[in-house]
Amino acid sequence: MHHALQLLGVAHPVWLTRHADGYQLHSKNGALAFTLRHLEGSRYLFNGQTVHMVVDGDAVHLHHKGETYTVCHQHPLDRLAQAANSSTAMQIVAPMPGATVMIHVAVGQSVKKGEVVMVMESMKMETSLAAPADGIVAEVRAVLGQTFDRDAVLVRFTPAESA
Amino acid sequence: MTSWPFNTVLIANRGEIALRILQSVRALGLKTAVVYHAADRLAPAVQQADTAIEITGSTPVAAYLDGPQILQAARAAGAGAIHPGYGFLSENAGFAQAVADAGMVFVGPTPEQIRLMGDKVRARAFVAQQGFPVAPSAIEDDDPASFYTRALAVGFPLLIKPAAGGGGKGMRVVRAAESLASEIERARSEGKRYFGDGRLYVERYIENPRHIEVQILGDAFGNVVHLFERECSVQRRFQKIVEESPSPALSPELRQSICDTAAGIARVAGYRNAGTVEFIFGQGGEYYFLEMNTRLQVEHPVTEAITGKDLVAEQLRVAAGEPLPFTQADLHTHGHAIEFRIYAEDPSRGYTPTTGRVLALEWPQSPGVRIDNGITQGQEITSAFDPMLAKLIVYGQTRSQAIERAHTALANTVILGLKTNTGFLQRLLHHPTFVAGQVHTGFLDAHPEITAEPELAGHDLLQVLAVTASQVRPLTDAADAVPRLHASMGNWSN
Repeated sequence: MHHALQLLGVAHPVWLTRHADGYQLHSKNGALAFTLRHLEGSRYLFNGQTVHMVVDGDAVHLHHKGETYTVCHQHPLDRLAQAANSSTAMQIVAPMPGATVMIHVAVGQSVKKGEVVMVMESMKMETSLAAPADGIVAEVRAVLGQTFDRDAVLVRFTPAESA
Repeated sequence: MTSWPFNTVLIANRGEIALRILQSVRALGLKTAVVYHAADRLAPAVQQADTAIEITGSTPVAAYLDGPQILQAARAAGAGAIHPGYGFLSENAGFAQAVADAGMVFVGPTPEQIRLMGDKVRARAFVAQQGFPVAPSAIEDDDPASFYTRALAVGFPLLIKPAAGGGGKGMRVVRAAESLASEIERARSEGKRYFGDGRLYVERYIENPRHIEVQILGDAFGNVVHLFERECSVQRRFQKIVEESPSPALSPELRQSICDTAAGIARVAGYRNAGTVEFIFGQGGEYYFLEMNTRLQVEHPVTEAITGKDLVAEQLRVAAGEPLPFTQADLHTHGHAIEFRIYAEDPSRGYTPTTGRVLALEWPQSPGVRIDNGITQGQEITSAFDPMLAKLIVYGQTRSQAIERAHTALANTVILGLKTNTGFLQRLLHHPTFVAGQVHTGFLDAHPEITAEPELAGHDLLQVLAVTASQVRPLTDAADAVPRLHASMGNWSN
């Protein structure tokens, strides 16, 4: 399994080879030979064009032609593990940064799809978060009164049929 | 030349507006002081002020709302005046009074003026009583027995609102007299259900209205001028994101009429300071008083760009007891200005706020561009405050030149580390409805496609993948490990 770059919700398997003074990218969408030179700060010269880029752990933030992208590197082993788990992965992920206002469930409790599991507050508005499918509460990571960032996993479930 | 009754001005605000005020205070030869919560330690205004005093609170926002603590900081800084900016304590009559009681100057209107205009019902009644246009309405409480007849007289379409309501709950649009009675009953039962209160309020419903407002300046001698209008119809979640002046909707006659009306309202209120009179503007050119904001407005730079006036400097002169240095006849506009609010938010996910560290920051440097910025590289953007990071203001000789310049400026605005709305603003800028100047306050709701992230495909996709792949060590290591000759033979794959 290849390394992959996660971009706008899609995993793109890619690899690089050396090419002249730079590299060549290989992907399902085709190949591209390129050179990249660091100028200063976040500025790079990519095939003669200026781009801005910052690396932050596994994430690469890129400003290219007026748009901003965040691309995450996925290691092949992680991808394998994810593929194996994806059939059982069921969770509530924070749709926006906020704070936990109410938690209606406890570990071990069974929930129906659409049942309100917790209530969060963000932008002075309360939002109810519902179970994505029938299941059993496996873990409650949300803590009453505490804040969380977007995409934080708040509650995890195991699907009803495997329980 | 002003002889100032104060030497130091304390800025009781944060972010871009704190820095913007600081620049005018300094340009006038006065000393600057700011208060800040620890979360804002790296903010530009905190770094640049002559004195910066840390304030605390149970939440970061609470610190900036803590009047007594801010007064204490002002005393410690030796400030003779406090500029409240917008939001926070800017329209708090009690704070304005406390500043005066402490022997300092509040850079704003009198507490009485804040009380009058801050109470929407009182302000509206006052404006109507003075003979200025307000949307026809009927309040059930005034005389419950005649409510139905008075509601009919408002005319159709009309909007029924629960008197105790808010957030759009229980509101109903009625388009014909036949359904008025039954809709009143439905709204009443909804009001009871949502708010435990069935009393109602009816007003004329303006279809697809524009939001047009007029900038006012008044001094302590009863002089009031207007600095023309701002069109603020591009809104999301009832908040403005793009503002411009002149409004594409106004003929010279309508402009004169709406600006004179605004100045007239401020004049009868004896208004002192910079202020904004907001109107709801119907497709037929009818307009009604909405509310008056008794402070500097977020979007004031578009007015500064086309009039050449510094509104903060004028606020400070008025607060120092000076008369306005110009009359209405001295004020003219040149060209066209558009402001874009840059937010830490993701339009494609319902404009929800985003958080993260500012890892790279670069502003465009092109002709006609002004940046009012409140952030710094390395700063952590949290959900503790309003997600507005900065404002980009473009000026052009014409509206189309301003749009063209805005395109370049937005494309060259680099903020890396957290998602912002700059890509969305570029798509909005090219939407035919915006280009034609045909927007109304429901424009963005009617065009959700503008919020969608464009699909990345073809050469652009390969470029993005290539640049980012070059920063992934396992990918470059694997490539570098293969002998050059072998690699150049091609057909190699792992």
